[in-house]
Amino acid sequence: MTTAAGFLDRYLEGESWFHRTDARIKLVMALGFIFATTSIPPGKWPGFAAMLILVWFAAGVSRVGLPRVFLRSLVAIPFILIALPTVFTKPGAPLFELDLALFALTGTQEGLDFFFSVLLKSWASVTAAVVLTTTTPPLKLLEALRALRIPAVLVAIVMLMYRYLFVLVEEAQSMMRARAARSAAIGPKSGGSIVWRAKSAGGMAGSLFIRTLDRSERIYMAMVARGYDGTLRQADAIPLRRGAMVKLALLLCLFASVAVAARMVL
Amino acid sequence: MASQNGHNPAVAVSNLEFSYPDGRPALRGVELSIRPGEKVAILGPNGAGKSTLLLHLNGLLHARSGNVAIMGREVQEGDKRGLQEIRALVGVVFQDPDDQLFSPSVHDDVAFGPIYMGLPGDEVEARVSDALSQVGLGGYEDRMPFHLSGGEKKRAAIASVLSMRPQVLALDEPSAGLDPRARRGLIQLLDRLEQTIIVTTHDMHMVKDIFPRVVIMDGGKVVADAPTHEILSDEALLEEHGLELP
Repeated sequence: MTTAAGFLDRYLEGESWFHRTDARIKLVMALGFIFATTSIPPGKWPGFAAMLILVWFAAGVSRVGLPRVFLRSLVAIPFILIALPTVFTKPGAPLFELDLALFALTGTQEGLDFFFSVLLKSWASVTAAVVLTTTTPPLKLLEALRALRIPAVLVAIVMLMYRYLFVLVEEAQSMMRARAARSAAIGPKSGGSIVWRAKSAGGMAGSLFIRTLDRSERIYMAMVARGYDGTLRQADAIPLRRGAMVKLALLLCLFASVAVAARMVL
Repeated sequence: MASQNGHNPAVAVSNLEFSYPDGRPALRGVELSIRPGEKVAILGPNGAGKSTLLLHLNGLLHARSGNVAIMGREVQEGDKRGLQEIRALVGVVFQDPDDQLFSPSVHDDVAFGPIYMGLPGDEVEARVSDALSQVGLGGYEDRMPFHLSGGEKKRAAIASVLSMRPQVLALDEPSAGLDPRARRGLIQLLDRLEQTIIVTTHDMHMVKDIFPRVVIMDGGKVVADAPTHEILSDEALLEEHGLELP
C-alpha cells in the first residue's frame, strides 16, 4: 500500500505560508512565475538570477527542506540535455573546438549562452513546480485546475488516472510478486532465455491491460448506478477571498516586472 | 402497472430471464418479492446468477423477458427519467470498493450520487456528512479512498449510496475479504440500517445473525425461499446447492 503511494505522492504535510494558501492562488502563481521566467531572453543573466533567488526564497518559505526541493528539481536534467546540441549548432563567434576522431565540433558563444539560459529557465520553472506540488495535496491541485476552467473532461481523466494509478501499481506489484515467488533459481543459470522472459513479461502486461479494461467497465457501472448520465457535474467551488486575490496580483506584478526589467538590462 | 398506495412490495421480480452477450444464460425465470423493510440474503454457488440479479434491480442490466418493479415502479430500458428515479431508489454496492470509489476523495465519492440527483449544494453537503456519520466515517471527507483500510473502503462505498437516501440497498458480497473486526462492524451497520436490504453472500454466520429470510439461487433460478431458521435446518437442501452450515 505505502509502496505504491511512495513514488506517486509528492505532497508533504507541513505548516507554512504555502501550505495555507489556496491551491488556485498557488497554481496561478506558479504558472505566472514560469511564464515570466521563460519570457526572459537568453543571456540576460541578472533576470535569471532574480528568478532563481525568488524561487529559492519560496522554497525556503515552504519549509519542506531545501535539499529535498533541490533533489526533486533534478527531474529537469533530461530535458536540459536535449538543449545541449545547441552549443554547437547555434551560429555565432567560435569559442572552442571539440576534436572527435571523425569530425570536429565548434562551440559558439551564442550557443553556450543559449544553452545556459535554457538550463537556468528550466531549472527555475521546475523548482517552482516542485514547490507547488510539495505544498499542495493533489486533490486540491485538481480542484484548482477545474476552477481555472480547464475542460472538465480533461480534469476528470486526470482525476481517474490519479485515483487508479495506485490500484494499477498495486495490481502490477502483486503480479510481479507472484512471478518472483515462482522464480526459484537452482544453480547459477536460471530464468530461461531472453525470448522466454520477454514472452512472460508481455503476458503480464497483457493481462494487466485486460484487468484494467474489466475494471473500467465495473467503474462505469458504479457511476451509472449512482445516476451518471454522461455529463460531468461537480460541486460549486468556494469563492476566493479578496485578500488572497490581492496577494496574487502583487506577486504576478513582481514576476512581470522582473521579466520586463531583465529585458532592459544590457 | 401496480398502484402506488404504499402496499407495493419494495422489490418485485417476475419471470426474469437474462443471457450474457455471449449467449450464456444467467437468469432463467427468477421470481422474487420483497416487502419494504425486509432484510433478505441471497445464497448460492458461484455462477448462480446472484450478482446478475442485483444488477437488474436498478437497471444496470436489462432483462430479455420478465420484469422488475421497485416500490411499484417498473424498471424499463430506454426510459431515461424513470431509470434515474429507480437508481435513486435502489443503492447498489459493488463487491470491490475500488470500483465503487472512483473519486480522488471520500467526500467527492459520497457527493457523486446527490450531485447527479440535481440537489442544491448545501443539501449535497448535508447528505455527505449525514451518510458518513451513519457509517462511522465522520471526518474522512478529505481522505483518499486508496489510503483507507478494507473495512473503511466498504463503509465509504456504502455511504456513497446512502447519501442518495435509497429505499432499497443491494449489496454484493459485503463481508467478503474483510478481517473479523471489520466484518463485525459491517454486520452491525447493516443491522442498524432501516432500508430494505438485499445481499448476496457466502457468509452464513452473517446470514444467521441479521437476515430473517433466505433465498437460495442455483442455475439462474430461485430454488428455495424461506425463513432463515428453516433453510439452515434443511441440511439436504444446503448440501444439494453446495452450501455449508455455519
